Amino acid sequence: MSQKPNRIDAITLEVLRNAIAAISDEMNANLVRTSYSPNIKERRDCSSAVFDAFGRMVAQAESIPVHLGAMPYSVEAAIGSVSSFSPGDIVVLNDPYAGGAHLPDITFVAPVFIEDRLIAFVADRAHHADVGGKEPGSLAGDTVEIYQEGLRIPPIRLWEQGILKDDLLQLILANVRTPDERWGDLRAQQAACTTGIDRMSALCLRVGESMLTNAMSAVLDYSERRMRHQIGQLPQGEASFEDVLDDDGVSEGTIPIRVCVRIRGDRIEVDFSGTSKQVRGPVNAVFAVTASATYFAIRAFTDPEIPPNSGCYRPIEITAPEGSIVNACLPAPVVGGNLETSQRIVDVVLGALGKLAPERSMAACQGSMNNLAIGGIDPRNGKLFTLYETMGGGFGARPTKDGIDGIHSHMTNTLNTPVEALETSYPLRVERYELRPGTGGEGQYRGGLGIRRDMTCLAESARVSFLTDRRSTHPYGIEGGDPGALGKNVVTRNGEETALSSKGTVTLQYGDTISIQTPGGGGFGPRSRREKAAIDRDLREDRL
Amino acid sequence: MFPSQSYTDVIVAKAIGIDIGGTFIDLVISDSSGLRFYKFPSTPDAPERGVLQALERLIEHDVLKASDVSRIAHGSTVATNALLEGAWAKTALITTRGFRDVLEIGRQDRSHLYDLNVERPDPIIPRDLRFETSERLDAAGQVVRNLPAFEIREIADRLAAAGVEAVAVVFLFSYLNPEHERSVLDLLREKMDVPITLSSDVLPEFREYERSSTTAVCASLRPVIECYMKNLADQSSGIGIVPEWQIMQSNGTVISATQAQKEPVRILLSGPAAGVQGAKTIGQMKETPNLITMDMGGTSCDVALIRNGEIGQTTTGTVGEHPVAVRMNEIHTIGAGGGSIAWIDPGGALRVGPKSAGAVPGPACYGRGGTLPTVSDAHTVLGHLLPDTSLGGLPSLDSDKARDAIQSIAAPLTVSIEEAALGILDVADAAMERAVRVISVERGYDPRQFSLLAFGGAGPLHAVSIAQRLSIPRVIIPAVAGVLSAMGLLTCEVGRDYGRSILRPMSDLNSELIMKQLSGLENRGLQELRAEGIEEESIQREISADLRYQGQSHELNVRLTPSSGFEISSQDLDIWVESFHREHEARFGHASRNEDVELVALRLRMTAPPAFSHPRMKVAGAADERREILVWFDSGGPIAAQAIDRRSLLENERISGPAVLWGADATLLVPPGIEGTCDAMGTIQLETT
Repeated sequence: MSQKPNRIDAITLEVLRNAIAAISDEMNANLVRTSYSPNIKERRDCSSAVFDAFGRMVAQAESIPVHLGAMPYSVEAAIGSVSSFSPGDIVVLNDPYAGGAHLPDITFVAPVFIEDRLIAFVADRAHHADVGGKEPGSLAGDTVEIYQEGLRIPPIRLWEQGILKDDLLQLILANVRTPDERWGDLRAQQAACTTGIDRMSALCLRVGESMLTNAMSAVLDYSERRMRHQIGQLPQGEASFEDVLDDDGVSEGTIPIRVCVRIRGDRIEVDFSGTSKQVRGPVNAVFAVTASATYFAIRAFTDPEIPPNSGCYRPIEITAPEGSIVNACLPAPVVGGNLETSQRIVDVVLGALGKLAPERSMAACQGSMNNLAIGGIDPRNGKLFTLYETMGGGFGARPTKDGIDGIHSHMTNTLNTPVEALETSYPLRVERYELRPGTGGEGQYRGGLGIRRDMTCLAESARVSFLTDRRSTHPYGIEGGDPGALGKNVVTRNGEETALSSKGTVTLQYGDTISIQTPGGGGFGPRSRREKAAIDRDLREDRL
Repeated sequence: MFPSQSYTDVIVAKAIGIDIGGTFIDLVISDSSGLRFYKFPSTPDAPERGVLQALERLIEHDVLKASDVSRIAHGSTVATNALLEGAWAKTALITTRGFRDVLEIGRQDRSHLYDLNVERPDPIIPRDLRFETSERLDAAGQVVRNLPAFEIREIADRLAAAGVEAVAVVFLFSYLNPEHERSVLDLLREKMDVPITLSSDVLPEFREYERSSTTAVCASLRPVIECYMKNLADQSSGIGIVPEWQIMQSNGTVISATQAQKEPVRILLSGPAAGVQGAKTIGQMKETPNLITMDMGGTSCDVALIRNGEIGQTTTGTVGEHPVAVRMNEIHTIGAGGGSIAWIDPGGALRVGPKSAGAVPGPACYGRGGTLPTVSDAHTVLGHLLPDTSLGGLPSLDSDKARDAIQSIAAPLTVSIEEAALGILDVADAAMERAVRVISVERGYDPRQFSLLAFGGAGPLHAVSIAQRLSIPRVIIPAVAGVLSAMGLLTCEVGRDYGRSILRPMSDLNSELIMKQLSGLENRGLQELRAEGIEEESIQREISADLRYQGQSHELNVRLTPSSGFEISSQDLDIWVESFHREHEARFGHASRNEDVELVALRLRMTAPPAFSHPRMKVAGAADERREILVWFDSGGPIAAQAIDRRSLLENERISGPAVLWGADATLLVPPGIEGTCDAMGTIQLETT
């Protein structure tokens, strides 16, 4: 404890921290419950947060890590664009260059008033299934500027003093492929804001305005203290780490991401100097995404139980050169920055931290979300179909245990579509869905195995887009452990296999099979130290 | 043994409800004279031993005559513990080629987002015991590849060589066409004699991972539960108890041991389900159909929601991270109980739990060597628990030890012991308030339209405070608050739930097709309930369907009451669809009446009322005298409050706070300004607004 909190604070702090966290939880539950699209409802690709009047995030409920700590940038952008808020205003935005992350993530920000005094903000973010652009799903892997990726919404008041601005709404809906669904999801986001406003107002009435304001500050200080306490326990010093992305989808060549992490007392500096300039293809990350991935890595490396808020991030200083792949500038395309680059940012930050405190380190996880979209016409009913999936792979090995086989890692955690649901809804047959023996990096502790999923096209033809990585560069092992095996994307036609690149689009004919084989995780420690029992078990279970 | 009173008259026709917990065995005997309850220490290493010892002691003390027992029902964590501890049988899986890892990959997600040391529980069936065969069905249930019998015979030899004790069979799309699974059953039976479990029997529903997990859990627990039930039956008939044992299922109904051991996956929430069932009974008697139930014991707090007299049900439950997709009472559990330990974290906040002092050593006030500050210690120093009365089977409480323990929190915060104790309760209440929010507001229900029914040893101590935090207008405390689970075993129905995936738009279906499916389910139900000795006339059928808009991947369960008996007309189908739209609107805020509605699964619940009417709830026994004590309700200092033995309350007696309504099983705290009444059954109702 660096400073002793006063006595009432210890109790009130915990009680009010719970109360405010419950509000962000309830907002998020409400958003999931009332949304239309499976992406929010089933995959829970959304988050909600409560902010103080200065735009500092006090509590956040997030279901996937890629939203962690990114929303303060949205609130900051909203505050910057609206000169004077009124009760009932709601600011909506998705522009990665003005508070957003990538275009499919639309964020709502609303002020909370008690009489005429602004006491707080609430905000929520959801991944929309389509926001226009050149391909359905707005996740094209071959764009070269953001204008191809979909509709950009700068911070605008879509509701002003409680009144929906219908002309703005019509403009938005005219630019997306499934306007009814979009409107349903936008309404769910508005409802979640309303819930947040109601609950914050009620809490304010219950405990008093000055108590609530003080409590919000105290909660930020509390998380800051806990984070400083954790950082203070790490060894002082600095370490650098570099890794690469396979390519950007439109040009050849690996893309380096470099970081230097410096522990200075109870602070951390994370410096991305030396990282690749922004690239032509859609794997650029805006600063909010880089911050989110960095926060993820530090939170996971220190204490995942620290309540996530702006206070928690105060001791973390991030330097990302402007115009680099980790702080891209207009008009770079960014959709894959959130999906693939964010994973590699985690890999390098964890890699550097691991050098400083090897007892907490871990080898690289598979390092890709393996995004796959398949579209075409279902011969059973003549209707258009689009399937969007991500796939798990090998988890990196840890200092005391193997990596997990076949699982999502780091910035994502979305569910798969069950085979029985998939074949019922789409003209595809899943030929196998299984672990890939031998893909885990060997070592004292073995990296997790990748997954193989083969699907045969039962439609006349189908378009398959894929945004993947670690197809030509291996997930690293550490402390002498071997790297994890590469992933593979393969199409089989009439018994003949064709290997695909890491990002692209192909057309399948009836009977063609596409096989997505995801990477394994890296190993930890030299394989000579592996216990015999572990080797025997792997042999018995055919995992090598 | 800690009898609630001495009791000598032996009256015939006794029903016994036994709830076997981790710390105590709660036993309720019901007969025409009322309810009597007893607590015994449990024997977690062999749960049936403790139960038999308890019954033997009651017989020895002439409290019970074995031949008078007309019915004996129990709730048990035996299946849950076996699953959590990995004490399942060596089990093999036979599945479709290309899919043996489905059971391990699951839904590809991890349980903790930020924990780099996260683990996935070992699959119940290891990879080398998961066998593939070339059969394949398509999404219409048509055969793509036949089942090669020679492959199964080969696998059978390998199973025998490996010495497996149980087999699970899960083929893709077997819920549409169980023929291949059934053929495997026949082929294996020629070669081996171990329990074989088919996924099309246990859970004929889509989503292969959830069905595989449920089937694997079921198969692997069968040998364990068969052995447990056999021991129980042998030993209890040894002491002269004749009726067959019944066991509580996760769905809130009981079933005979014989049936239960065939599908032990249905008894995983046996213990908590009984408590909610008891709460439902109290709600019926109080004519209060909307209840939030809160069962707080030594280590955890279970909350559940009863709406329109029906307990919320789920088919997406998990036990120890293993999905179990059979219907069960929906219960949300958090780590807050009387034994939860208070501590100060590195950020300087006062925290309570999730670590618990458990039963041994227990809270400091138990005087069994515990020194860490717990919620029960906080209650003791504030005067909420009476040191000279028994709690959870202890003869008395040690308030000096409780003070010493709380001092360890008070000192670093530089507050008085009482202020620290009040802080501990405040923090514990905040966590429970959040749990209640999860099952109410987060599901779209307004707590102000519910009553809070609190039970368990510690529930009534926190009830009023929780209700006030959530603006719940009314608190209900049953006379048997501390042993409500045991009582719930006596008041629940005998029954079973059946289900089947359909996955077709309602527009494609007609009443004939649906009746055909329902009749299939009904036949199985009739067979199983007849085996329970139940007459057909007393069986009630409850039809429901899991419906969704086409393209959605989540379902809503919607009830259907056919206009005439068990016969569905085309008009009924329209009503069904309309009810779905309405329910969708109520739960999710919108409905799309022009979209196709898909029938995902049909469900049929068949039940029969318990063998006797509701027991009298009032606890018998002579009450202690009332007296005045000093109690802390807030930091303003102690005030005089009445200490009342709950047994002394008269029918319609007015209750006014400040008061402490104590009992051997649980204590109710009534703060100043709170008023209520006691009814003829001893149930207390307090108004909190």
